Amino acid sequence: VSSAHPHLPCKRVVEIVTDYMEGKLDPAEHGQLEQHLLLCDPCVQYIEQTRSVARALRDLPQPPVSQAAHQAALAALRRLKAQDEP
Amino acid sequence: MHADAHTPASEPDERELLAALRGYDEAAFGRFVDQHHGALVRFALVFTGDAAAAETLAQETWAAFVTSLARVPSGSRLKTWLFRSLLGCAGCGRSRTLRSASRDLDARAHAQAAPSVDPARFMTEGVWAGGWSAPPCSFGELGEELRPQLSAALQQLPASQRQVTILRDVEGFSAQEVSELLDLTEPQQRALLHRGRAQLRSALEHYFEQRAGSV
Repeated sequence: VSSAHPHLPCKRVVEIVTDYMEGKLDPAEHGQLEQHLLLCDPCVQYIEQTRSVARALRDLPQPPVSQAAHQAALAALRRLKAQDEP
Repeated sequence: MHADAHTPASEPDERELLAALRGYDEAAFGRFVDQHHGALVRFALVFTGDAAAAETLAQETWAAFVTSLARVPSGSRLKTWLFRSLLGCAGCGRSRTLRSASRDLDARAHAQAAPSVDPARFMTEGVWAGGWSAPPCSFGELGEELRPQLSAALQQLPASQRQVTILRDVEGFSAQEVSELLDLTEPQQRALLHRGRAQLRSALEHYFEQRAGSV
């Protein structure tokens, strides 16, 4: 059982996590959230997990590029060049 | 992978690259293709739902991109222009089934309505009403071994949430760039990102709970 802040319940915190991370909370709610986080470990954990998801997404490897795809894209450039030439 | 996501065309490297591409420099274009084609296919998949069609859409994007190089606005990022080209091609719908439009409307409505966390996990009565009754399951930093679960969960997001989450968190575009690319207001963009991240966190939590339960 968490020690929720009476003015900003945990149920509300999970709805404003992204606004908080993006710096889009109004100053009053930002202050309430900072106070809440001093008291509420589960909400700290929730926010850290959300950050962790964003970081992990950033590290997802890009799908590989096949030689066929590479050549097909180059062909588009060559077609355009051929059209451009007198 | 994300080195150029925030590099404006006004910076020397981007200006030089743009000049090289406009001059049909195949080596420079080939490197640019290698750098971004996989990302294009991943994003195209949101629109096509099918890997082969996503590859086709990515190829159409390259053709549209090279044709439009003369029109790249000053100060625009080439990667942004590339993804704008993809969105333009996806809108044409010539070679694939576009399934996103009606789903997007559903998802945008959903983004306004659905709670981020199951309400049953919060207390409903007493002085601590709204506090956690079932706090988040603990999980640490997400390493490489979690990538398959994360990728699978990403594929399950509603189309509009997936678009925003891929562009923001995977590709590293700014909130302003994503809002402009997808024709969203910044609050709409943020709401979709929020729902996307919340669902991914929830999916990983569910994975960890199941893993703990199976030990």
